[in-house]
Amino acid sequence: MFVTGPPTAGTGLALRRVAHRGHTGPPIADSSLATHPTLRPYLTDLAATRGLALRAEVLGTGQAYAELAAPVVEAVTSPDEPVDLLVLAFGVPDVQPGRNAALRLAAHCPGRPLAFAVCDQGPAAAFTALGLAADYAATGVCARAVLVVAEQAAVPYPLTAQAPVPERHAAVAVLLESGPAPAHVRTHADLPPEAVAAVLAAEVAELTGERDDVTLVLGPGVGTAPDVPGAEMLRGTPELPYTGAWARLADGEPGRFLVIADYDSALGYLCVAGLEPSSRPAADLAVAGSPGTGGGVANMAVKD
Amino acid sequence: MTTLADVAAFLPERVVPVEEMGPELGLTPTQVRVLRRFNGLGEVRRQRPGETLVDLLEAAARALPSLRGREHLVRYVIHARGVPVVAPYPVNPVHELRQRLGLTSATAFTVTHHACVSGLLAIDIAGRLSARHPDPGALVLVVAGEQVFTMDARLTPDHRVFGEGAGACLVSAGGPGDAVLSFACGQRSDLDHYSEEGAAGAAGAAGMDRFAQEYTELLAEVILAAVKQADLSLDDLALVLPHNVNVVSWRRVCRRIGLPVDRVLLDNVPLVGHTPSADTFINHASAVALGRLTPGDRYLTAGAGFGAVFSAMVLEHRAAGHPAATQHGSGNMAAIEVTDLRGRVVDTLGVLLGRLLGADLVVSEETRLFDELGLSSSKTLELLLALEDELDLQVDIEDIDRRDLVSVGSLSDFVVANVDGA
Repeated sequence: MFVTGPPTAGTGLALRRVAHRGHTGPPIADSSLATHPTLRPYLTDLAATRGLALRAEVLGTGQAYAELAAPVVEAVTSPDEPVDLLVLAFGVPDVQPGRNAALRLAAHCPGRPLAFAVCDQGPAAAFTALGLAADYAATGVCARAVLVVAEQAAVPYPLTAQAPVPERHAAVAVLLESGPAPAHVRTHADLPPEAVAAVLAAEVAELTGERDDVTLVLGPGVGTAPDVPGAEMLRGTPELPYTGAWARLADGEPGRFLVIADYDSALGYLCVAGLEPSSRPAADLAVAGSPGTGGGVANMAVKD
Repeated sequence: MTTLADVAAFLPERVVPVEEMGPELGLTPTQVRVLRRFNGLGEVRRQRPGETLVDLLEAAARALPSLRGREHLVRYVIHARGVPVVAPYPVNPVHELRQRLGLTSATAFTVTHHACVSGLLAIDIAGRLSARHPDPGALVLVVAGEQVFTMDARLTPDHRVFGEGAGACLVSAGGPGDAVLSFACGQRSDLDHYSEEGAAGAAGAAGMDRFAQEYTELLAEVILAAVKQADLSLDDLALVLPHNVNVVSWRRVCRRIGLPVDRVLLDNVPLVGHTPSADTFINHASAVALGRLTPGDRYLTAGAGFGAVFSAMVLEHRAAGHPAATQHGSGNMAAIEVTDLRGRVVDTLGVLLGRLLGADLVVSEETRLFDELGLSSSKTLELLLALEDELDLQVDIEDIDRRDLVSVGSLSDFVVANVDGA
């Protein structure tokens, strides 16, 4: 049970492990849950709220986030490390839209974490989820958190506006734990596209200062990369607009300060986050059966 | 300290009696009578055709007396939502709301997967956001409310009816307003009604049954944990703002923890029904309007939802009253004359069970209602309702529990002991 009083002083959060699924190798198949007969009346009513008809060719396909993300949650957690918080971020709805998938995923974590989901914010939802994990840590109720980002490719009605739609199903889990430095998340709302480059450059410069050990991970919404001397640059695939960048968090050289950024032109959010890697020895980074990469952050591609 | 700087609620004007909802919900006339007679539900509010979720949320936000003129201080807008998906992607109600309210520089998002107590989680989140914001005057607007747009299996109206309503509050890191003293939340995904074969499958039904069995204990646990965390006792609570599922379940919870039921604001249950995530705000508005909260009062709000989540929050009322409209419900039980009642009850139950399950059924006092006959708790309530009709009496079911429902004999004992006016 999660029990809290008023917010108190807490800790920072460092990045410890990343696991992803659906980014490499063969595509993840559709879930059998997508064919359940209760879905059609629900989706019919849902689409009808905006006068839309269902796309018969899409019905029966898609993935459910509880099942899609369970392997990555298990990959970043270990039984002797209780988790206090799990936050699931998604943009495209779960193929099982009524389920509390975050609670299902929490059942795969040691420690019975408080769990909830953040959505209706496009790709910015993952940054908000990271920021909330940082806020729970900074206010004294979270020493270890799991951020889950999930996306699935089936949208069974026509889109009424521009929005990212993934080409396949994928999930990422990020394990964060207490550290001396706070995890910084900066969000700019209602930012026009022409202002993105300048604001992003300023935010990255403020986050990185004089550091020369920076890995910059950019989501598909960022066009021009900011100029950061000596920085290693990684890109998330546009095929996976919600999880692509997050899957690359641990692809860089070990031990570097991580900056991740993305822009969503549909809702106008520019998000930038800065994270320190865990200072634990490399030998402590991997969970059983999933070797670490040798320092800083353990990265695992969960095989299907 | 997390502070509710302002709280407001909105109820649509259209009143729909539960009897009118029967056909829409696929309920038999008997099931409708059970809702009214035993669960204390009478009517709900619904929007008019064509009105949207954003209309509902906007009305609640605009009812906040102190929002106007302080829009520039609102840094976040959070929609607390029990049903995770309520609009076809990428339709985005919380961003439409942000636009309508002129809060375009605020960061907006939805918090969900806490079922009908997502509102309490959103307040906890908002408190941490405001505490960490560099501007000490920063405000977080939390809105809660949903449309009943589909008859999903998870909304099976055995013991509750969903109405439409919305709540809103402004959360700050301090200053005037109700102070949040504690928050407790228990999660039990193993009680989920959404099994792998869907809500209608056997595992889903088993999950719902276990949810019903453990509901009282789990809600009691979070209530007691929140009170303890606030360094208070139940005696210190001036009022409990419930979720409006029904009256019976709250009586059970009160009995379990030793809280007088008159300290739970149940007035809105027959008038509003259960509004996902918004009950706390609607009941807060009513409590202030009714004079049930005065400055210095400590109060608790609590609820539960499928999936399953149980939450409770303790606050201290420090704000001035907010305008709100509410009405008082009432219930009257008819007195009857009792003569050789137990024998008549046993005989009548036998006749009614025969009608329900087949004329060949042989029923004795030892016949087990759940194990042998496969009755559910809701079917048993229907049986009681039919018994009332047959014998022209009324039974007070406030103290009923599962032991009373074991057999025809135990149910007869309960009826005799609890005939109203006996």
